[in-house]
Amino acid sequence: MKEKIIEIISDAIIELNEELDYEELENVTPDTAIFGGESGIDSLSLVSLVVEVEGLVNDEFDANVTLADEKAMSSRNSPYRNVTAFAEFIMTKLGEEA
Amino acid sequence: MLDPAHLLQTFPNRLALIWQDQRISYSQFETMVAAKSKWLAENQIVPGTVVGLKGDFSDQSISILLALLSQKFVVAMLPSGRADIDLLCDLVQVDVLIDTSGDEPEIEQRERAGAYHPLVQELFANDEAGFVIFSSGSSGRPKPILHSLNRFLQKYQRANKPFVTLTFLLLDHIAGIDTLFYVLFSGGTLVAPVERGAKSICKLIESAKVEVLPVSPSFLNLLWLSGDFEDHDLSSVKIVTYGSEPMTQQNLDNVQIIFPNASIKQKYGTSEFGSPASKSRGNDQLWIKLEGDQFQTKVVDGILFIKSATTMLGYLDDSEPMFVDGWYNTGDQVEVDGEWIKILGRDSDLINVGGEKVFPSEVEAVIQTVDGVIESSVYGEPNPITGQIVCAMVYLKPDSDPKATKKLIKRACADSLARYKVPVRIKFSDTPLTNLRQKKIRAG
Repeated sequence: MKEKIIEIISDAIIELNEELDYEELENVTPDTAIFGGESGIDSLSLVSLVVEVEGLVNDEFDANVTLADEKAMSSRNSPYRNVTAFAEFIMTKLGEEA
Repeated sequence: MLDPAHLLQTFPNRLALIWQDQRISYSQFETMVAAKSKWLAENQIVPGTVVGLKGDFSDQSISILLALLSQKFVVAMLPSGRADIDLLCDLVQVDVLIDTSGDEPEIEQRERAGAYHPLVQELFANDEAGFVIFSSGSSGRPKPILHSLNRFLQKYQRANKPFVTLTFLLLDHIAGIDTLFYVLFSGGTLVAPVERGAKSICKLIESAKVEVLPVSPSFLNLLWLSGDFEDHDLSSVKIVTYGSEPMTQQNLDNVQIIFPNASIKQKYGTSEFGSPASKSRGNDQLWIKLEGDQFQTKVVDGILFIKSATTMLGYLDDSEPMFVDGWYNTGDQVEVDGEWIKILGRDSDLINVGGEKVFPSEVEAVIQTVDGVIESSVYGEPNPITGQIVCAMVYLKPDSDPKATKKLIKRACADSLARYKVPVRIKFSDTPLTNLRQKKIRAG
C-alpha cells in the first residue's frame, strides 16, 4: 500500500513539475523534499499537488479523505516535508477512515 | 388600479399566444381567463389567500395567473422540477397549490403552518394583488420576494413594441414575468416552447417567426455548439437579449454569426426589482447603460446600487434586504466607463485565493476556449493552505477524454491567467450545468 501511495505522489510531482520545471524534482525518490527546506515549491503549487494526490488516492482506494486540513498544517512535523512523510500521513488518514 | 385581465381587451384580434398547435387571439384568451375565474370560484379558491402556481408557460398557466392576479390573489410562482416545493410553500404560507404542468390543472389544498407575513396581510387589506418570486440566493437557501402587482406593472405602461417573443425564460423567474407583461401590454405575441433544447428552439423560431429572443448566455453557447442554427431559417429574429449570468466575448462573437441581422442586447435585472430598460454599447460589446425613469443607478466601491419605483415590497422570510437610504445593493461588481457599466459578477461568487480575488467568469471564459468543453462553472472551495481554491465543474462533448481535457484546461488557464486563478480541482459533470432557470449552478 505504501509503495502504491509513494508511486501516486511521485507521479503527481512529476506531472506538476512539467509546468514548474524544477531541477530538484526531476528525479523523485521517497526522500525528495516537497514543501519547505530545500524544496522550491510555493503554497500554490503545494495546494495543487495535495488536491491532485487527494483525487488519485481516493480513486485508488475508493476512499474520501481530505489531505489538506487544519491538522496537517499545524503538525510540528509537516506531512508535506517529503514524499515518505506525505505517504505516511495519507496512510494514517486512510486508516482513520477505515 | 391595473387589472391584467383588461389588458386582453385592448387588441382583441391580435395573436396573444402560440403554444403547441394552438394560436390564441387576445379575445379568445380573455374568454379563457374568464373561464378560469369561474373555475377558481367553483373550487372554493377565494381571494384573500395565497396560491402557489406551478408550471411552465402555457395557455393554462398564463390564463390561471391572470385570473388570480385580476382577482387580487397573492401568487407564489413555484419553480418546476424542485424537490423542496413544500418548503417553498411553507415559507410563504401557501393555502392552495395549483399545478399546471399536466393536461389539466391540479389543485392541492394545503394546511397553513402560521399566519401570513405582515406584507401579505397589507396587500390583502388594500385589496391589491401581489406575486412572489424565489431567488436562488447566494447561500443556496431560496429567498421569497414579494412584489406588489401595481407597483411592478408601472414600467410597462409605455410598452409599445408588439413583437413576437419567445418565452424562453421561465414563468417562475423574474425575467419570465417581465417577458409576459411586456408582451401583453404591447399587444405582442407570446411563443411558448415545450422543450428548450437548441433544435426545438430553432424549429420554433422558424415556424412562429419569432422576433425577440430573450435567452441566457449558456443557451446561446449551446446553440452555437449544437450547430442547429445552420439548418434553420432564423432571419425573423430582430432582437436577442441575454442576462442572468456573465457573457464571454467569445460567446458574444458567436452570437453575431448566428444572428447577423439582430441587435444583441444585454439585460440586467434582479428578482428584487425586475429589469430596467438597457442599451448595449454595440452588438459586440459587454458594456451597457441602464435607462428608464423608474431606475436610478450608482456605483460605490465597484458595486452597483439601484433605486427603483418597481422594487419589491420585501422578503417574506428573515432575510435582510440590502438597502442603504433607499438604494438597493445588488452585490454585483461592475467596471465603469463614463455612463457605461460592465457586469463582472456577483460579489458573493468572488473566490479569494490567499487574498487574491478571482472572478469565476474570467476563468470560465478561458475554459470555454478549450476543445471539447461545452460549458463550465467555476467556484471556490475552502482550503486551509490558501483560504480558498479555484475549482471548475466542466461539461464535455460526449467524445471528449476527461483526462486529456483536464490537462488542456490547466495549460490554457496557465497560459492566460495569473497562477492563483488556475483551477486546482477540475471535475466533470455527466449533465449540462444549467438548471431550469438557466442560471449557472455554482455548487460550492
